Amino acid sequence: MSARLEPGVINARQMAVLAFLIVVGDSILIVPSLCAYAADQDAWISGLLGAALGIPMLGLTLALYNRYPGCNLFEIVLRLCGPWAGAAVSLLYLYYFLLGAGSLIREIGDFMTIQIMPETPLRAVHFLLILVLLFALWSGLESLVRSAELFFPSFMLLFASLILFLLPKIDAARLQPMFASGWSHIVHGSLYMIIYPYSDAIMLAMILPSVRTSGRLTRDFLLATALGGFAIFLVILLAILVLGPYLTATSVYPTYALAKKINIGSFLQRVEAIQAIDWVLSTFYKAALFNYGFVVGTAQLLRLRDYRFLALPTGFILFGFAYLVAPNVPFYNDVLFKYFPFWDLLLTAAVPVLLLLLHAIRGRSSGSPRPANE
Amino acid sequence: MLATILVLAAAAGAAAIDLPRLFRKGWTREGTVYAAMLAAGAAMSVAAANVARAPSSVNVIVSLFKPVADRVFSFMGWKG
Repeated sequence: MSARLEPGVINARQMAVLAFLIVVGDSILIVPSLCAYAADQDAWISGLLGAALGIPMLGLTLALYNRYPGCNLFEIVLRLCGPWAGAAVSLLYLYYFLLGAGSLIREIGDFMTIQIMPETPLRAVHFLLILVLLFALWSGLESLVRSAELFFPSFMLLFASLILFLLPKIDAARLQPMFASGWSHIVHGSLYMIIYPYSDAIMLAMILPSVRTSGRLTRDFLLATALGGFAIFLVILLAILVLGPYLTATSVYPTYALAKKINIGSFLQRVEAIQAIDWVLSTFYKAALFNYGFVVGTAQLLRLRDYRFLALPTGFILFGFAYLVAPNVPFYNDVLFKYFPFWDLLLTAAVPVLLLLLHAIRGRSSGSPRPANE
Repeated sequence: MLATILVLAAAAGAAAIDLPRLFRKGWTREGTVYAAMLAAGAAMSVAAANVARAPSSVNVIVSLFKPVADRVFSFMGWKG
């Protein structure tokens, strides 16, 4: 069914590029402050721990896909849970994807209007971003992935320059005293590193069926996501080393504060707006895939013959949703810190584990595992 | 008022272009879904365009997970 809905085909390398950008996504902006608020100067240990624990989360997505190759998330859910329970779970995932896309648009909007263009209305930023998202949806998965490939080198160049230019500013004393916050707080910090970069990557289950079969898929997928996690870890570490735990925890966008610190010989300075291109790019691709997941999932659930014609109505929904998602930034940050992790864990860990259990039980009750491709 | 008119005009324009095309192809189900989503989207966009005070769309998640989050945070001694 998904093959009929999505005619585009991508290769394992393109998938890896997309996976990297999705793991980095908005996490590069929000995760450092969440980790630092939870674990103070030990946030970097939380980052490392979270990156290590996040990979098994991705393993759940891959394990599900390997049992039903060629099926996207909604097809797997409908196949395992049946039409009624499957529709209920699918509705949860649709809300998850819609909320994900809306939240990310809002994050870019808030970031742009707070830090870069304070005179511009939030709705104007949302409108422009949604236009690009709709164009991406119209153009299809292949075009989206090719554009990601095109932007990837410049993304890496900007990221590498952020790291290199900040090296003169680091102060190792800011990491001291180590382990002062205790393991409980370090684990708390690692929760955000697991949830926002890794568990959100379940959306990749929507595009896995479009990846040209290759023996390297699992390896490339895990490698790209591990590199993405390492990139976030580096940013957390730099934020603590350059800004210190207090500024990292209290800044809404510590990565932007970091970029403001770049000053090479009083010549190369005020490059934060250029650096911001990086974060907008990675957040855009994450939002585009959430949007793609929502639209393809809707088409799948309602048995529609195509998904692209839904682009315009989805644009209207997203425009409203991005505004309605939160009345202000403190409320949104509070939700990110306290409630979203549980919502994310429910849909990206608990439900996939239940689906795997259901698959195992069905396989056992029928005497042999269900055929992967019915 | 102008914002409302602009949003409704854009939604009407989208419907006028896409819906006849879908129904001409005999895609009744697709046309119905399109119209329903467009109506919902237009209503939400009108609220957004007018900067209306409306309940947050994550309130459901907050009310659903608040008891769990409060217990976990308190049990683990995490900062909340």
